[in-house]
Amino acid sequence: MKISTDIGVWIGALSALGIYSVLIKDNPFYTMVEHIFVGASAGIAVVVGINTFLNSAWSPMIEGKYLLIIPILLGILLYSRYFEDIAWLNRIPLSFLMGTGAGVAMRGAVESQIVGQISATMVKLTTFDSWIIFLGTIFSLSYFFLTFQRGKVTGVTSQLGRYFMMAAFGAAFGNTVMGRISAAIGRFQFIFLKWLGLG
Amino acid sequence: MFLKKTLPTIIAFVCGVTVIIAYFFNIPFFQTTAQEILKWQSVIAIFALGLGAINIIRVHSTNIRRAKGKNAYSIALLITFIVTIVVGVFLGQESEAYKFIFDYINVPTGSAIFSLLAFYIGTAAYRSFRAKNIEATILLITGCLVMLGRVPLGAKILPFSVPATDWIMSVLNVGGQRGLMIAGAIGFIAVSLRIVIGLERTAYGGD
Amino acid sequence: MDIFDKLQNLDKRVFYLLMALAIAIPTIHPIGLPVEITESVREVYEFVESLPEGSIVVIGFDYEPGDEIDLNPIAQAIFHQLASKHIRIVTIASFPAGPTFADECLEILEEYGYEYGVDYVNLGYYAGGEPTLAAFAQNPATVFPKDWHGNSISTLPLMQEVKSMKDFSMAMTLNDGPTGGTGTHEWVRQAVMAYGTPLIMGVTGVLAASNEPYVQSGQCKGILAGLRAAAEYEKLTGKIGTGTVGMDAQSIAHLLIVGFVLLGNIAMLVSKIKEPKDRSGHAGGEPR
Repeated sequence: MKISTDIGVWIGALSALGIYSVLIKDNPFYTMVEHIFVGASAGIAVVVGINTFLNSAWSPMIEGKYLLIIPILLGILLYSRYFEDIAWLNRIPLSFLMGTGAGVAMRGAVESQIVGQISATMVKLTTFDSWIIFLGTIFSLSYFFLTFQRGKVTGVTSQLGRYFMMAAFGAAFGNTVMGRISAAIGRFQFIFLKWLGLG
Repeated sequence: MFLKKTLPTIIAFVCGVTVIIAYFFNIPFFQTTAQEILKWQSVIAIFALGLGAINIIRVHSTNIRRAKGKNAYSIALLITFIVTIVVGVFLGQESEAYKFIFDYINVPTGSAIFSLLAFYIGTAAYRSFRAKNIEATILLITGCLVMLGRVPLGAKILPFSVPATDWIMSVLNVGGQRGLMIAGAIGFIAVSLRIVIGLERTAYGGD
Repeated sequence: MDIFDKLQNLDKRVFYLLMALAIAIPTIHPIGLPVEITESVREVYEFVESLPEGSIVVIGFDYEPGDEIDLNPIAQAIFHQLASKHIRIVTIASFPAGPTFADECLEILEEYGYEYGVDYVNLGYYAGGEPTLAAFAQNPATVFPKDWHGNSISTLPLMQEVKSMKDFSMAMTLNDGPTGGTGTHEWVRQAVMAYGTPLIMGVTGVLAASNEPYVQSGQCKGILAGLRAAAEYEKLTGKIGTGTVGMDAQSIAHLLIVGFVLLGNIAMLVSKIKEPKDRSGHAGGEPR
């Protein structure tokens, strides 16, 4: 066993152990590490935001793209929410963000998530797999028909749709477990291999 | 009234319609305007990063004031927050100090928090994951097969789990997920349309 | 009280300890189980192999620090393959931690003699999610007049060859979901559907299932999901890294969870079988 002498490794390991200590019992060590993490994360977001603002808005504006003063002022208006008298001003930049976001997302969603997916389903049904995909899509879509009462046929198809969705959720569950365990593996590698020098 | 209610609706409508028209039609005026709108949007969004930071400062300074300086957690949070900003802004993001905060505080703690779920899943697997009906049985069988098929040892113990995992992911899962995706997209488009045409104003603080 | 009831009432910390041991022991004493290459990962590898030498790709570092263990190994494995074909790389990020991760992963390229600004560029972070990605796809210079290190984009030779998303021979997103940044659906919309740029995804396990329809429909060339995919890719490229090292612990932990699920359901079955016997054993028992 060769314990690391790097102060950073010690801090990283103790931070991870602080978080894991909550598994034993909620304790001040965990709460302190959690708060330090939130402070560091928020700080990093602000630093990155400042850097991005300087690179992509302030510098270009000073170098001649003077129109950028408008979005800069609109961005500042976002902070009017903290002042009661002028809080309504933050609706203006928000409406800009929401309108643009909705427009951009909507124009692409039709093609990628509806047309693209439907055309991939409507293929020659010559194999067992293609039938399963076709039926699975139809049945799971029928589960979301909420504008009329379910009859005998739609009752059966929507129930089968539920089964297909449960299979999809099971696949998602299996992969989620894999992802979370990977995160734990990463921390354990850090603690046991890098910090304690075992293995 | 105009500035508070009507102007935001007009802005959302103009921005949304412009970017949609620019996507489908090659009209130079709309192309240029849409590009400018998207650029402005990216600048405004940068300021949104600061909103979370201000909230944190407000909440935790109130904690410190109310506890008359005894709230060690809030003090630690604010100190870390300020130190990170000072290091990042004045020493730069390529400095050793900034990388230290990132590599030895932010990443280990963030990963550890994400990984806590792995332990909770372990307990829940025994106590709660019960095949009480057909849906739960299907979910558990597919979940367990995928878990086994994704690891070398699982493939050795149950060789069938590997092709089963591939089939579940690329056939069974696609059938179920596709219906969800299409239905979700229809709902998403409906909400986006309502925002653009001004029927949904709660998204930007309207009624 | 039988064994199953005792297990049901067992302190949850015992389960936590078993999980911890299942991960810790194989980490300290690896078993060395071989990782087999799956079809889905091989398809991604072969697609990247088919890219012309010297072409340019864009890679989005769209994840938070918590998913670094899943996605950094995938990034590094892909970079080894791209560098072996001298494919040039542009990185962007929709999460604040992204540019730093990109910098760390791009260090690999130095061993291949890559030069910053000529062979690779880290453009940095962009705020605003999908609309900003759309602006980048239309004209990268409008979103990134300067790169992450403050260099004007006009001084970077690589960026003179990129006027829109069409100029990239491939896009890749390393993604853990849209919350706080740009998700996989957004990349499909803005890169694939709008410009026809082929897309591959490196995702955490959570997103693997929900993005599979894009692979089946051809809108995505392939998905690399989690540490397992990283391990397989490392085997294909011959550059063993953290992906492979973690597979043993992953195996034991998965087996443990499947074991818990089976045990819990056996307990449920046993109690169901015992129930009618218990009822008949009590004359004048309470009506159910």
